[in-house]
Amino acid sequence: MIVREDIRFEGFDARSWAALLALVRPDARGRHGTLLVAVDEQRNVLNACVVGRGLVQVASPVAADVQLAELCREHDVARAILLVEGAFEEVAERLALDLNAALTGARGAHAEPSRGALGDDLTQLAALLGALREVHAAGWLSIWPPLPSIPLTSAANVRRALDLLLPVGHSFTLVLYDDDAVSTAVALSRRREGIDHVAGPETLLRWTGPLSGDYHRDYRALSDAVSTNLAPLHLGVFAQRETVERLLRVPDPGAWVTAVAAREVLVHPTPAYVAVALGADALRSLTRATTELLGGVELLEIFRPMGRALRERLPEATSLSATLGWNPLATLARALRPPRSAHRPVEDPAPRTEPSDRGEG
Amino acid sequence: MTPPSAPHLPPRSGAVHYWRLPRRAWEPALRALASLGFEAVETYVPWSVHELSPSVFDFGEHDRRKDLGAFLDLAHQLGLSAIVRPGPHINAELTYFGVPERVLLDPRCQARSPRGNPVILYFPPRMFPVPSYASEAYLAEVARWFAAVGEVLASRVRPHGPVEWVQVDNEAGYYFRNGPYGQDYHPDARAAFQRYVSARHGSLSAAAQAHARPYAEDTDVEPPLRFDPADPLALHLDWAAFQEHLLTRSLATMRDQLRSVGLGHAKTFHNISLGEAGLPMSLPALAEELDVVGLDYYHRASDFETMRRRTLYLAGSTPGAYAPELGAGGPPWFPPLHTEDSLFTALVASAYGLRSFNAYMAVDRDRWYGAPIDERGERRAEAERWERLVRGLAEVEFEAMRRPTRVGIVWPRSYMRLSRATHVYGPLSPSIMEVVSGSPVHGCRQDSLGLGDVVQVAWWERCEAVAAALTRARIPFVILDGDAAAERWDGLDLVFAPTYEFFERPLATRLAACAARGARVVCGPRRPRRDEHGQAHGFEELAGTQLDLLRDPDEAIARLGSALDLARDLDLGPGLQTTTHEHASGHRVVFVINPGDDALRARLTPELVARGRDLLVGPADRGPLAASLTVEPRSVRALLLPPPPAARTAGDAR
Repeated sequence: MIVREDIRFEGFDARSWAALLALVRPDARGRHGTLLVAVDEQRNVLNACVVGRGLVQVASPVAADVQLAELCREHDVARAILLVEGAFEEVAERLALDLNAALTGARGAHAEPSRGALGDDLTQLAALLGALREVHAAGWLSIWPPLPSIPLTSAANVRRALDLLLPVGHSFTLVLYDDDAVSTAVALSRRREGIDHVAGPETLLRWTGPLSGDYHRDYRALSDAVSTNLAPLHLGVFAQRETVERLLRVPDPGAWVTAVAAREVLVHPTPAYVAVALGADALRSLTRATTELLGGVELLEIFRPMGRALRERLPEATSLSATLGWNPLATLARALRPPRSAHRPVEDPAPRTEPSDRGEG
Repeated sequence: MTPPSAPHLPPRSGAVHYWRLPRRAWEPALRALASLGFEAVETYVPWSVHELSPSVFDFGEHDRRKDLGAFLDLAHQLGLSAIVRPGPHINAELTYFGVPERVLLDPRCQARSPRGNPVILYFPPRMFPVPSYASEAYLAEVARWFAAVGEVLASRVRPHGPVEWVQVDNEAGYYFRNGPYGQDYHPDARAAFQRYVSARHGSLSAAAQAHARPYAEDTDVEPPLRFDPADPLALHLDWAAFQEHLLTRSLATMRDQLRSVGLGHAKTFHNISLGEAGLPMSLPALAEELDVVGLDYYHRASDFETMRRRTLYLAGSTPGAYAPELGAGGPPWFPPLHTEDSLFTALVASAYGLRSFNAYMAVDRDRWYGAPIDERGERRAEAERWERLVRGLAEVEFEAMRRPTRVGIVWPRSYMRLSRATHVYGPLSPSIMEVVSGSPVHGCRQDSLGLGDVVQVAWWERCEAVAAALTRARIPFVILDGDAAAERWDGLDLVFAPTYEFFERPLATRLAACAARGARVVCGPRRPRRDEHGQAHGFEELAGTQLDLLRDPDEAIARLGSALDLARDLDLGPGLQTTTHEHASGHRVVFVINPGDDALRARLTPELVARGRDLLVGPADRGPLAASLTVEPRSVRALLLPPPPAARTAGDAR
């Protein structure tokens, strides 16, 4: 990974960084590994291997309509990539063509190439994804499970999404405790191009000075320190580490709102989209519980007017998906949630409100 | 008192990036570094940071953090020597790896793909076109940078200043775009390939015969754009060899450039990245050009087998095994490395022969986490464990110790090249595959290419099988690059070399020389019939060697071990591995390694119980050892055995 010149990352020791990453560690259950299969143009197998395990046998030739899911089961892996020899090279060439066109264009009016001629991060990512999708669409590359069907939205749209989640010139912080000491923490700030500063617990504690050891009391000092040293705080989350680890791994839609209500998790300040997300979480949880308890009576109907009122007060909540064409919060939730098959099935009876494109308030 | 390092290796050092720290942090950072027992400070010198515009540089005139001279002078005042790494490529988690953007955007400097496009390093979100190691325009830009940095460094080379060692470039491997047919098709590279082919074959007509192409003049020689099994193998082996040659030649040019700007008295070295068995880089060839060539180490503790294999290769193929970068922490986009991972790596590598290392990073900085010293120069909690390790190794003069080894396993270069040439995942290159999958041959074609065996896979598996059998027998061994210098083969009494349908004549000659001096050379499973150029050859040189199918490696090694009376590593209990290192003055260090997930008990020998001490505690805390000791999961105990009384007397007398 290569990042922009103006991004600063600081303030983590090995323990605090590992603790932060552990929050989003993939679920360890289920199948692991990736099966790679390369075939020639006649679809004869040139190579088949499971990364980290070694070479394997795959029957040759591979049918055009091969079920990669079957291959995954057969080789006990989570993912499979089948490619026609040269597909990765094709991606590389198409990417180079795309970026080179940008370079050539940038050089047009100048004798020397100008700084930034390679495009910004989002433009570059779009170029890479575009090259991958072209090769995929041409049938040279098959992937299981399929890539998420998130539409390739424009860089401008992604920026609008970022503006909502963490507006330009604002910051976010997550501070987690082990008993009475900060275990790990991160503070992010955003400028126009994207995140420009990632600060760890050492930096935060340098900004705050000594703390009480109780996040219920410390959160104000931490919030002020981030606002003063980084940028005005847009969203702060403060909790015991084990609480957040637990919440990220349970599928119960009401767990977060319960934790917030019980002040196990402090959210301060609380931007509108978080409030709405928590509200929706509460409604879903309540609905599931009452539906089970009342033998199928859909209690959520009772709350539908409340939902409407909430929506009217916070128009950006319902405009998010309409604005982007996809819902980043839902995507994030899916990414963090363990596979449903490993748990009791969870219904999602949240009210299907019609998207209302009222702008972003 | 810290004993002097062996003269042929850089001293143990720690990395500090002056330009990333406020000036007020320099002195506490360097003092903290010295407090860990390090003898030297290492720093990159980033071209893109110092260059303000073409030919205009800031070495502190505008930004005091960029005052390289003042930083080196401070290190000198504090008694530290200096290792500097002026690139041009440095990575250092800088956006363009330390190369100015204007240079990367210059089409004349860009490496070229088979279709003539720029070669893009595809690590998003800041992808960029990588420079060409063949480009004369790029090398001219590098010369201008070296001239500028030379003005600061030349007057600070020993004995006038602290600079002892200079690294030439960094992890030269085509900027991770080292798939077999990924690059470089730059016009200057094509011309170099044409010259190389003629030289390699002795004449253009010989090359034409080997390639089965009608070459009338050098310019008729075209590099292959992809692997085609219908081509003569020699064409692809030549291309793979040329990719190694190009890097070596380019780094030799950079070395000469550094010499020309007043750094001729500094010793030179280079660092090879992870995945070296799959890299288009010849460690022995580069070692002929530079004073030292080392390997970089960034491993999780679960990578035990990989770090062991890499060190055995380094120890077998170079006169002194050195790690220019041994990860202490890591960049945030690597899989997370704990302090336990870093220390386990340092100890395992030492156990198998790593003699010196540079802790990268010793002092934390932007885009890094987990160094033992923070950005203000204050020691973190893990600093004490690093100090115990560094001081322990210094105390026993570990750089001057040796691990007696009489057995070698050979990696023939031509087989390494064949594996690269037959790799089918292109930009997901053999070296990347080696890093993520543990082997450089997992991405190879699995057909035999008319060779009778799937040579590109089989050679590696055979070497691995022999290594596993030697490990089970507790017989110490090293791995030799087939191109390793002549002196690396001296002292080996048993050499295993895989041989198949084709083989390298120079290596056969080397093996024959080993057999002639009395070493047992075991080849096989096939007697080769063609050389690396595809020419029929009977390999009469190998008549004095033993052809062994090694159907049962354990049986064969047991037999040969007894016949040659090979010494074995200590057996201190199931699941534990041990190595023993000796010093000329008589003391020894025994490493007890637990690579597994469960704690194990080591049953110590009577000698260890009677005289052994734990090296990794301070001398004042070293008590006698019990009859058994616990070795925690994925950890290493280092036990010091002082010289026997008679030897100690002799040593004192010296």
